[in-house]
Amino acid sequence: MKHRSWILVTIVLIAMVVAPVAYRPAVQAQGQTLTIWVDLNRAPILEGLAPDFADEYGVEVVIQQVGFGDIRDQFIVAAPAGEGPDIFIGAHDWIGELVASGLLAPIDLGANEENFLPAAIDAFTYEGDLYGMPYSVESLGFFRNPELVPDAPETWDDVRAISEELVGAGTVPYGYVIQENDPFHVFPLMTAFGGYVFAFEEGVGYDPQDVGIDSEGAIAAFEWLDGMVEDGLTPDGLDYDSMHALFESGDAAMMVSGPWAVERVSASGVPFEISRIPDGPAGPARPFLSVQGFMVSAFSDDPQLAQIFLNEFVATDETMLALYEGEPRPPAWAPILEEIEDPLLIAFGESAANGMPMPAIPEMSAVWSAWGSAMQLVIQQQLEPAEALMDAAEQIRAAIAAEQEETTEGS
Amino acid sequence: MNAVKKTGRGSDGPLALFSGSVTGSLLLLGGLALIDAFALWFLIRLIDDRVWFLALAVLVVTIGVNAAFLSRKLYPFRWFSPGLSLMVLMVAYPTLFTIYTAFTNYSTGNLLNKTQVIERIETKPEYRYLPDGEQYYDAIPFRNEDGKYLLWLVGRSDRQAYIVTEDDEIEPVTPEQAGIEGVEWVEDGDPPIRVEGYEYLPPEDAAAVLAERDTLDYGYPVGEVSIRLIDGPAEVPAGYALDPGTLLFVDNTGRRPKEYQAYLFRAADGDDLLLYAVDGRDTLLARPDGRVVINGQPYTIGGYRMLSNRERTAITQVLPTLTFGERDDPIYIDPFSASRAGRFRPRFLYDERQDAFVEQETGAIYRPVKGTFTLDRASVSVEAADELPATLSPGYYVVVGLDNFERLLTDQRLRGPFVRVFLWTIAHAFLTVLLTFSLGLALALLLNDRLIPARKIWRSLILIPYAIPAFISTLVWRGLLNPRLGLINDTLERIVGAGNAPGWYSDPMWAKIGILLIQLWLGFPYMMLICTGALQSIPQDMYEAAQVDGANAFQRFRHLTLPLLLVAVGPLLIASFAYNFNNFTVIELFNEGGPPIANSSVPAGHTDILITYTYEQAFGSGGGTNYAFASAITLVIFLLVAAITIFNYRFTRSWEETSRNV
Repeated sequence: MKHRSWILVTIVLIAMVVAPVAYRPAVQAQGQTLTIWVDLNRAPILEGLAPDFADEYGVEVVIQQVGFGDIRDQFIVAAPAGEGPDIFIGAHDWIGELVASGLLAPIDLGANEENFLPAAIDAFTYEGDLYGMPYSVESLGFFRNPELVPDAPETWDDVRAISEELVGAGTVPYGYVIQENDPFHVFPLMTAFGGYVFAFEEGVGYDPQDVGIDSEGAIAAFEWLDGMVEDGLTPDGLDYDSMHALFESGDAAMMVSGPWAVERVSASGVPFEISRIPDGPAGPARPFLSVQGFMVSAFSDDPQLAQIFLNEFVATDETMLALYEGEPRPPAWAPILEEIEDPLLIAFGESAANGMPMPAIPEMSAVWSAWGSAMQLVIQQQLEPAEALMDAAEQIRAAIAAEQEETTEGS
Repeated sequence: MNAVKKTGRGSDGPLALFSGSVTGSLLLLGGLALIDAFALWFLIRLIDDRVWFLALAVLVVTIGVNAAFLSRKLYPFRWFSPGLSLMVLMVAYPTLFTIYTAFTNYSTGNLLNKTQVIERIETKPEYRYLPDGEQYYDAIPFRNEDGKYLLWLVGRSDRQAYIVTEDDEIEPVTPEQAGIEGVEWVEDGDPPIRVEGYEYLPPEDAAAVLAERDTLDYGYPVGEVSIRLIDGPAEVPAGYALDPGTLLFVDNTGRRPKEYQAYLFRAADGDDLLLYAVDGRDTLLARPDGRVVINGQPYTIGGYRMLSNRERTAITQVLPTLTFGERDDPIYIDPFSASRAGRFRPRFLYDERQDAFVEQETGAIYRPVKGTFTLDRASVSVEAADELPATLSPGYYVVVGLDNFERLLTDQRLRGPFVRVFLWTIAHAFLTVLLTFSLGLALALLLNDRLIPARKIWRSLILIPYAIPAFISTLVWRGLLNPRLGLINDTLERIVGAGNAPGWYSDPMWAKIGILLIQLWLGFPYMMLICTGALQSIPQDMYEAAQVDGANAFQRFRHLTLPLLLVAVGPLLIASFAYNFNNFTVIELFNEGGPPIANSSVPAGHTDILITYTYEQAFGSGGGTNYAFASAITLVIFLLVAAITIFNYRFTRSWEETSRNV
């Protein structure tokens, strides 16, 4: 019996040693591969292009579908563990966080850079280095119901005049609608009146020390908005969906929204046209640009191969055209942009021409909620525009100062 | 067997396997071996990934399971070892990990470990410098038959072409090397070039010369492709038009064939033909000796041949490891670029001896301070220190002690509206429990009455809100309460007049009422359920006795039902309170804590509870994630809830005493 017991113990020990070896995945001995994480919409387009690259460069491109909203979060976890992609597609405002954590490799476009829209390159530039190869540029446009507003308003004063006329005559309950806690949609109005978030300098980027939330222009813009609400031309209490519901039911004549909204507005059956966002006293409205592009992981096994893929294969007329045709978004590749004929995309393009990259600096996180709250307090008529914006600016400055104190504490 | 009998239970050593049948023991051992094998495989993977904590947890569980099955003393543990294992892995490990994280700086900017960070800082292209007077080049690799490399370099600043090999120094390119000797460009000329020793053949003459040869093959030097001059429509790929009056040259090397306008030159002293072709900015020059120059760049230089795309991608890992030019000051290929090369040097190098980074130009020292390499200002002059970055990015994660808790207590931004938020958190949890319990109890009492018809149907219907997931109900309520489009305000406005309906999103009081309304909807079926159960357990004879004593209905409820009920449901009410203390979902989905508090020092809302408020501070608006700080907050909130719960249990104990008196 005792003898047998040791046999059994030996079996256990052998199992413990043999099984892991047997279960271990065989070392991959196949050829070179390049792994790309891409969202559902764009995965088929890239899958279609992969054989061309394999043919010409002898490298297999593996496309892995990841939901657009999950790419960043999963990348943050997977990349340091050595399980992330070589390349992924994402939005330019991710780079601040990813670069701070050392997860992105800069991209060297060389002479190819001049083929991209300068604003798109600016958007992916962080502290003087480029961290993404842009491929589409989106911004907001001005939606109007042409049965109510036949001609596109030139200025925000026109928007007010048209609203007064329509609401006064009882044609529609509201002239212009906007969601009440959303800095993104109010930014073009603010810039048309001369307001800004952070001072922007071409080629350098945003200066977090110069907060413009309470600048004269910003206050003027909020006063305009305040007046619209006070006179019943713009309702309070709207979120994104209710703003759209009012426009789509014909209860509101005008709104500002993005290319992503075209599909739902068309589906509603309401007649609509898109034009450039109206000017203000300080000049043209400057919406935020939302730029999407390819980024390279700092943990890629073969960063040079990833750069060759982007620089020599993706940054060509053929690939950029295929990406555009697969999913029509305004391209960041200038030669293709010039050939676009879709009137809706052209209208968005005109707004985008004056656009500014959405700040990717970490300080921006301090801005959104304070700014949104100020907007909400003004629209809800709880605070005067100047007071609301000054409070917000104070909150933002305090947050930025505290953040900087924290980072310099050690030295 | 004899040994067991002789020495009695437990003295058979640690092995307890053999009390049963042999088959049973074998099955047991087989199962155990499988578990061990899997655990070991998992452990190897975890250690490989350097996930020490989880590895430790798995190790503890595995040893525990083995001990439980192999040791007689631990025999009772066999039966709950699966549950115990799961508890260690799913509850104890995450809890301990959260506590550990609360004492680190694990957050955006400090996500990597120290080894990874040192490697990143040393290789980061952003942390590089070019010595004065140097420039970056675009490099195109060539290779000879011995496997040695040559780089064709074009300066990014001076736009001049250079050549460098692994052995020889960088030299400007000569016309012979470039394959353009004797060629002279003529602006707007037709033909656009003149070539020494060659005469231009106008299209008619060229056609006559070509008529004698079917095709003109230059024996294109890169093996995989061929470039041919095409002199008839039959050779032109579909989709390309051919103007019969001109010569066309089709390049099939790219993804799509490319057409060039072609010019032919004949050597003055023979039949040799030289071809020059233009398409927009692209030019091609093919010499009779086999040398081809595309856009001013040759395909062969001496014995070196330019690499095809396939050859080039195959050596992306090799090329950056080579050195070109001078041995002691070489040119490198940049691994982080498709083509960049130059005499770049890492700016910061890690010195293991002092555990610090040294800046290579000034000798400045960067020492680790709480996971970030920080400039030691004493190591350089003041002027130099001002020019240098104060810290190196990224940082790594490291234990920082009580920093996160200190911040929680001292941060002005968090303290601002803290009291207000804290009071509402308690009020919210308390009122939610009170309201749901009251309604649930009322309905339970009502439906407990045998006089109510179809009680089972009512009960089932009332349970519906409980069956629908909370986040769906909350979103439905969000729509119902929408002040412009929602059904509720639409109806109310008809009664109280337009503009007088409550502002569920804008008025602080109504927003709070709205949340309590949603909580009531979500919570009362549960309360009804537990009250119904508890009510049915109260013996009927007590009521009969009370009735005999002359107690009226209210007195019976007050002195009999309620105390007896609370004994049963009291702990559940406390659990419900603790749950609602942290009920993130409902508030975040309904209005994200809005409406905002005016004149607040930090953005905060009137309906923010502790968890939504701190979430906004720690993770708010996508500016990065501070896991460590969030863990610290979680710990503190846990302590708060625990304190309140213990306090509440004191009350239940008093209820128990009440029940003893009944």
